[in-house]
Amino acid sequence: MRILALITTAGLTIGLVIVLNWWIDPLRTQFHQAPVALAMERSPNCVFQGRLFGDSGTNFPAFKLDLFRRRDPRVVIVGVSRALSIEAAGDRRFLNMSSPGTGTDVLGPLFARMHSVHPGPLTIYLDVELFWFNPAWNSFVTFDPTLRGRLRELVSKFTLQKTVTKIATDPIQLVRPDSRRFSVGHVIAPCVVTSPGLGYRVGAPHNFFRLDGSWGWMKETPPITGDFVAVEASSFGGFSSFADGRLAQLEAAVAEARSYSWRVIAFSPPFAGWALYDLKRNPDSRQALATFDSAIPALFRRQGIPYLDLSDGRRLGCTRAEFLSQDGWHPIGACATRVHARLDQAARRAAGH
Amino acid sequence: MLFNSYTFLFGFLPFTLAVFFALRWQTARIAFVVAASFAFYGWTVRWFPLLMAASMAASYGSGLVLARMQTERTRKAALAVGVTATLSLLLYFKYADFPVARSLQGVGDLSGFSVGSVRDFTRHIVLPIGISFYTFEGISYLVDIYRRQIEAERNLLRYAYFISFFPHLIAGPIIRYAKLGPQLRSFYRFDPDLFASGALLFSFGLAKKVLIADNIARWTDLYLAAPGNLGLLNSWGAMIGYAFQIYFDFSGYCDMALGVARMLGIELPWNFNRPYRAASPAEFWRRWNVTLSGWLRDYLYIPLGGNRCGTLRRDANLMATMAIGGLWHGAAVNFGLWGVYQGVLLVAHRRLQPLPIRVPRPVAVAVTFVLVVIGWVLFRMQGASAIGDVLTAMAGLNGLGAVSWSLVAWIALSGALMWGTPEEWTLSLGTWRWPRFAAVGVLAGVALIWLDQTRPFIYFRF
Repeated sequence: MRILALITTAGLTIGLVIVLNWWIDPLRTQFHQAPVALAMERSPNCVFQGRLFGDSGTNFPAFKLDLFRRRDPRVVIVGVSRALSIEAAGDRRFLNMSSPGTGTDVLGPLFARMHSVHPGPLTIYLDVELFWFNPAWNSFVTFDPTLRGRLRELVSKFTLQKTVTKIATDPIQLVRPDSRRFSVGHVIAPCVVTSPGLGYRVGAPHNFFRLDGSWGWMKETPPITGDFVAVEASSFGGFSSFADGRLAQLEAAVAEARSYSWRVIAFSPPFAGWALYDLKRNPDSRQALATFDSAIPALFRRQGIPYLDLSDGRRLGCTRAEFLSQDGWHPIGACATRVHARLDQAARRAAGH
Repeated sequence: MLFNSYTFLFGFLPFTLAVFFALRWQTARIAFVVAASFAFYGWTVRWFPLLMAASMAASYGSGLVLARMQTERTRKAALAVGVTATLSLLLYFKYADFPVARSLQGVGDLSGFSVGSVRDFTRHIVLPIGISFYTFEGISYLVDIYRRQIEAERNLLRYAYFISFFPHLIAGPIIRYAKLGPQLRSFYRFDPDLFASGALLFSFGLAKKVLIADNIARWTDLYLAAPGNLGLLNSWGAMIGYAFQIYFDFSGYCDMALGVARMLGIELPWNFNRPYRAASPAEFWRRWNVTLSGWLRDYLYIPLGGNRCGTLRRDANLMATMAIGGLWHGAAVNFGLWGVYQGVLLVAHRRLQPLPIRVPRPVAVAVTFVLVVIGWVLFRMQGASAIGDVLTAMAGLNGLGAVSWSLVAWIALSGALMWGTPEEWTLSLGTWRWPRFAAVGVLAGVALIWLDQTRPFIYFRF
């Protein structure tokens, strides 16, 4: 009886905090469908302020899956932030499912989720990245969040502190949390869905998502300079060996996509000339790049899948300014559009047109 | 594995309790707890259990040999071999780099011979957590057999239980076989009062660690990271904060250890009794880390001659005991200095005792507390420069400085608990009614929520 009282009150205390953190959601870890539904009702050109779906990007997958359910696409691009700016360009059945942090281990579960939502025919443009095979790099998104992961976010002093701060700032959230979750403005697009709590003016989001899942970069930042491998050390640092196990993961994911009768076009997105030069100059990444250039085409050949090596941005005519903040590897604007066109062309060829 | 981790709280502990009470045979229970303890110890570093097994084999085997010896000479020889074998692992893993390799390096620097390779080797030796504790327990076991205070344990499982019992394995309290052995002889029938008091003690310990020690640590770490910037107020604030942090951290761990042990039907010795209520350095050591000070007294101070060989020899014995006690905490100069400082306090107290000076107890408590806080500077800070910076600031030679009100509030709360409430193990927890259990449940719930920002226990590295 006494032990039961101890355990029950401890459990109730934790339960109360879980409910409060979940209700207020101060870290925006939960995905709320209402803004997407509202935007789709208003106009296909509505955009969402980026941080509306979480500060750390952990919520992007839920947003992308919701778009996948709503748009019922026929062409989907899957990959990392490098493919994030590729837009639909008028194709209403196109969706950009890319998410920063996607890796070879994420692909299989993602394909399974997509197939369970829409079992029909699909064309996948699969972005394949060199750094996926860096043993020092690990994927950091999941399209299938675990209960344990969610609980760790909710049973947390950090989250509770944020919740208390939010309630203290604006007590109305305790009864109507949606009142601060999003609102709609009309300045740079027919509508901009944002949140007063994000600290930006309603009409001027720095970065935003479109309803096709692509990402718009508005924030002007100084050009990135320096040795590419050193600047992007979080992806290419410690590339001392090639993670062969991830090749097997990639091949299994591709085989799974094929088993759903999906058409897959694999590609490697462009680097700026200087970035590719630095990658080829660094002893570790040079070796990895050489392995990548032989292993990846062979893998897709085995699976009977077209593979476009678009890694040399100069061949696509991508200028230095056509990469985000001139960082050398996040194609934007016309460069991203040319990538999309090349992929469409390859898809038509694969379909026999 | 940490007591303040989700793995322990929601996995290891419930599983261990469930299997323990499901087993209906004492030998099976002992074997299971030993296996669980080895798994607990090897959770993060796989080879640690092998080391513990080696230490255990050395003291167990020596105990059996010692018990067979008949003459005083052979008994002494067996004891010496046993203690050396048990101690050798500790000496290698904890002290090979200091002072051995550092001394060699010093000799090399002076003579021009290169001993760099020795230093390069020793600096990579990993210190296994808990080794200081189970080594001392093995030694006390052998000495107690030699003194004919206990019989050698012939049952290896029971001996393994004594050394490896997971609640006290990592950071104490240091137990003696005479206390634990008899508790293993009969089948433990579930005692609801003992179990309930264990659950409460564990909850109190968790709250002391997570809610108080970790919150004070946020401030003390911040201030003490830059000792050169400290002034009078924030240096005293940081060090008083540290005094409370280390108490709530270590006594919190011990409460959790005592609590888990009680849930498994074992009474462990208590280790703290609100130490900052002490009115003298000697009383402080009767209230702080009691099992260590008792060990040092019985197995070091008394064999050295204790107070039986005159005043000067007594003082020298005290100094030597405390210096070794300081170095037991870690192979570093600052721990040695801290031990010497504590020795000086004890000697000075003994010397002053015959004088007709009587001060009111609150004044004596305040003076003792201040002296202990100054001692913590030597314990906490590493390097002469850092120690000098903090002591200079505490002497007021570095300006006034400013202290955070949050730290002041935590110190006030800690002080209120220290001087206004009894140590948790002294409470008759087994007789408490359910409303108090419910209140402690709220405390435990909050502590569990705060676990995401908890830190390792300070005494884990000793």
